[in-house]
Amino acid sequence: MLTKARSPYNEPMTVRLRLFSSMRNAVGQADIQWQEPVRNAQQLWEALAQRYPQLKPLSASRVVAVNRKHAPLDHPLRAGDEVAFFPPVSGG
Amino acid sequence: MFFKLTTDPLSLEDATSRLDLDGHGALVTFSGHIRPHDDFGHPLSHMEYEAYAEMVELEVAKLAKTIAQRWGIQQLAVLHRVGRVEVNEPSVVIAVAAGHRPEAFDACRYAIDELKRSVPLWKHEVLALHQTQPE
Repeated sequence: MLTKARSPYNEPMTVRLRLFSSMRNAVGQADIQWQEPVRNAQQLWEALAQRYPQLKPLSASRVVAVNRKHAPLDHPLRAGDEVAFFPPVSGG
Repeated sequence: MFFKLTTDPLSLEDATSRLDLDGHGALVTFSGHIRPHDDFGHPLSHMEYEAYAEMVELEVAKLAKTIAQRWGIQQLAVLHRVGRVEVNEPSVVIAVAAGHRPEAFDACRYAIDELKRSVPLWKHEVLALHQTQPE
C-alpha cells in the first residue's frame, strides 16, 4: 500500500489572526480564523496581502506579535497560535 | 504594580491611591493629556484609543518587572484610557513611589517611554472636520 508523504502543508492548520488600527481598517475585520497552511508570520502576511491588496502599502510599518509577544517576521507558526499584525504603537 | 485599561476618566489621584506610600521618600507622577491640535495645527474633536488588551497587560507587566529589577521599585501604577478621550483630558497617568527621588524620576520616565515604545495601544485623531487620522 502506498503511503502519502506527510509535509506540514498536508496538515490542516488554523491560526487566530488579530488585526489592529490601520491593518484592521484595511481588511475590515479584526479577528480571523486563518486556515490556509503557513510556515511563519511572513508567509501569513504575504497570503493576507494577496487576499487584501490594500494591506501592501502598510508592509513597511507592520509590527508582528505571536502569542501576544513581539516577534520577528520569520517566527515559525503552529496550529493554535495567535498572530497579530499592527502598525507602530502610539499610546500614551 | 497596578495596571488598568479603562473607558472612565483618569486622574493622578487614581494612580497615587493605588500605591503604598509608607516609608517612601519620593512620589513622582506623570499625566499625559490630549492636545487640542494635531501636528499640522488642525483642531481636534477628540482622540480614540485602541488596545490589544491581552498583550497590553503582558507588556506592562514586562516594563514593571524591569523597573523592579533596575531600581528596586515595587510601587508603580499605570492607568490608560481606551475609547474616546476628549481634548485636555488625560489619556495616561503613572505614579511611582521610591525611597529617593532619582530612582523615582528615572523609573517614571522609563515607564512612559517604554509604554509609548512597546505597549500595543494606538491613538486615532478625530479632527473637528470629522476625519480620522490613524497614527
